[in-house]
Amino acid sequence: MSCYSELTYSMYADRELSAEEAHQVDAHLAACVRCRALIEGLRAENLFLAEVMRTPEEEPAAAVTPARSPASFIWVLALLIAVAAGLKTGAEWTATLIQESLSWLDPFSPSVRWALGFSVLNYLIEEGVAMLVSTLTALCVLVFALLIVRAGLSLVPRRPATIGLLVTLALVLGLPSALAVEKRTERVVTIPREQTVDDSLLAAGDIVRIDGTVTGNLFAFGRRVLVKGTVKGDLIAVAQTLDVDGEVEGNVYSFFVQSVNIRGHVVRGVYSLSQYVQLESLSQVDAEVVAVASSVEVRGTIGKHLRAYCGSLALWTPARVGGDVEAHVAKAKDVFVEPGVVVTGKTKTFLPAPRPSRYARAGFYLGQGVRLAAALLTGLVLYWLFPLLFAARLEKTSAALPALGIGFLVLVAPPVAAILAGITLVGLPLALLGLAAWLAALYLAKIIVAALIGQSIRRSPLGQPKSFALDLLIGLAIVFVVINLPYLGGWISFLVLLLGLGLAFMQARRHWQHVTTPT
Amino acid sequence: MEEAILGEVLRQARAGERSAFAHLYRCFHPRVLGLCRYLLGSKAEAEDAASEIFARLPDAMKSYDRTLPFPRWLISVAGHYCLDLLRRRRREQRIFEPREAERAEPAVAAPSPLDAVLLRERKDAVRAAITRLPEHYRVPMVLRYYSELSYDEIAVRLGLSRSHVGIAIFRAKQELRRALMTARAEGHP
Repeated sequence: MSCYSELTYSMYADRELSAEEAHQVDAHLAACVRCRALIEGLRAENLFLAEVMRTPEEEPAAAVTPARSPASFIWVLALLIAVAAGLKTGAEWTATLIQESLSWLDPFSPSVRWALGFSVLNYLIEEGVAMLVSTLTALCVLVFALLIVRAGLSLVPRRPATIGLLVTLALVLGLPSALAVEKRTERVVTIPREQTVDDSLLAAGDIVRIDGTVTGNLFAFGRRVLVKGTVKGDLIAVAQTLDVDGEVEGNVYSFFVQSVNIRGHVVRGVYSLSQYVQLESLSQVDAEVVAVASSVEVRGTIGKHLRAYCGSLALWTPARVGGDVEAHVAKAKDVFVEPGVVVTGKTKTFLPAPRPSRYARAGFYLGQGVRLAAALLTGLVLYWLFPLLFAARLEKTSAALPALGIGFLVLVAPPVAAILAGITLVGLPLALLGLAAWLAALYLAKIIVAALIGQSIRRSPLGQPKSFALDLLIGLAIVFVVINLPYLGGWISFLVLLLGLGLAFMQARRHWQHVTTPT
Repeated sequence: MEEAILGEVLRQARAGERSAFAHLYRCFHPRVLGLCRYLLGSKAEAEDAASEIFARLPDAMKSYDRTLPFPRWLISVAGHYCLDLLRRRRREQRIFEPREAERAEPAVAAPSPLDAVLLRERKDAVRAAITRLPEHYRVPMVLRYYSELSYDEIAVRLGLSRSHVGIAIFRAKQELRRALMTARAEGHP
């Protein structure tokens, strides 16, 4: 039997021959290897053609979701590179410094907030050394530096000299190690009695002990910083405990210190952000003392004013204050002055003024207006990027309940997952990214709900960008009014957050399923 | 799209909910556009046609037969629309008038089937070659492999006999093979 024509085989492969013809071809194929191969080739070709035609070209797919312009990517990239470069430079230098000096930190120490911050920092530094060390520590160092500057600013609101010094400190932290400061990082840094450091000294270690003389400034980082000798410049300390038994001829600045004890002589002032500040009976501070602390106790002599922003302030004999005593406390009974204490100026107690209702302040409305505008802008950008996110619909009111439940899970699960992922070193960047995405989602949740509200009020069709902005504006206005209602506003805000997270998650899931299982 | 969701969206669409049509548009526009592109051969025309098809969808939905899967139905509607366009373009009732040469059995000395495995990396080239095929070859082939119509269905739509449809599809594939082989021989896709 001779072979059939290719046309016949083409129709056979398409299963379009009549039953009788097909039967005859079948009979031939059983005997002819060459024709069987041809049929297989034709069938593969048919499948391939169908597949090629049905896979959309790149262009139409891109038209559905508008692509971001390449220019924005370039700018973002440039910014990222610039920031990363800056952070890396700072981090490389500070990482070695901080590693040793902060190893003492205990996550469960009583000075919870700072200590916890330090612990995280410490963890990041120690665990991250092998991999992401520079970037991550840099981030923490940056936060750390900002905290110093920020705390310094609130501590001494109008002292340009101090602010200048704090800025200098921040700069010093950021400058390369070629700086003209002697740098010492060991477990125990000691300057013996007979030794004089003829320069500024940057000392970091578990214990920093100065028995000798430092002619410049002393920057000390450590668990315990002890000054028994002389510092001719300023003393800047970040430590768990700081003891000044000797003499500091400049100012003393202490940050995040659990307890500051001054028994010696400070020729200028003391500025402290600490948990406990104690000026013992033999101590003498010639200029002012400014302390932000939970407890301040003074038994020594202060040449000028004493300003305390604290939980409690106590002056015991034989304390003497050459200027005013200003106590910023929560209640009047938090200030105690023992009879016999000499205060040359006045003793003033500042209690927190009862805050006027926020609704009475114009700033509140201005602030909300700015937030609303920001949310509107964010929402429009989001709509442009992910229009499908706004396709979420609540068919029935009861459908909000599962959305709230899912929203709660979305609210709670990522931080837990991030912590678990963060425990493993490899998961650390993932955890940070996840947390960042989660924070963004928290912000966006209300916008999604607002869009839903706006759309349902105006019953406007989706997919018409012209009216979307108006929908969003109306929805946002409503959401902003509602979450600022007295008494209930907080709860409503929380629920709106849950609802938004739930809806966004459900919509994302739907979309994902749609993408992965094309119909 | 998940069956249940599609069902819900279709229900909304029949109820006249415009957001449902927006949803359908997002989901099916690429496929409809693809079909229009292959049938009409021109990108601009295809885009216009696809827009028009979706604009008419609210009316067309009234005639939607629910026993048919929606994507298949939509593709069939889109195919009809494109064929109408082609007819109008030619100002002829039967543009697919069988040509004399095609009535006869084609010669056997034709290129063998495309090696699908080799072509896998060159899908864009294949797409381009399809759109360059002459209309009377391209349209039956697209209806067969994109719209998955049978020879009989294609014959009815194009006003041809069944065997002519078979020949046209066969010729279309031969042309395609030839075009792709030439392109490869010339060293560019």
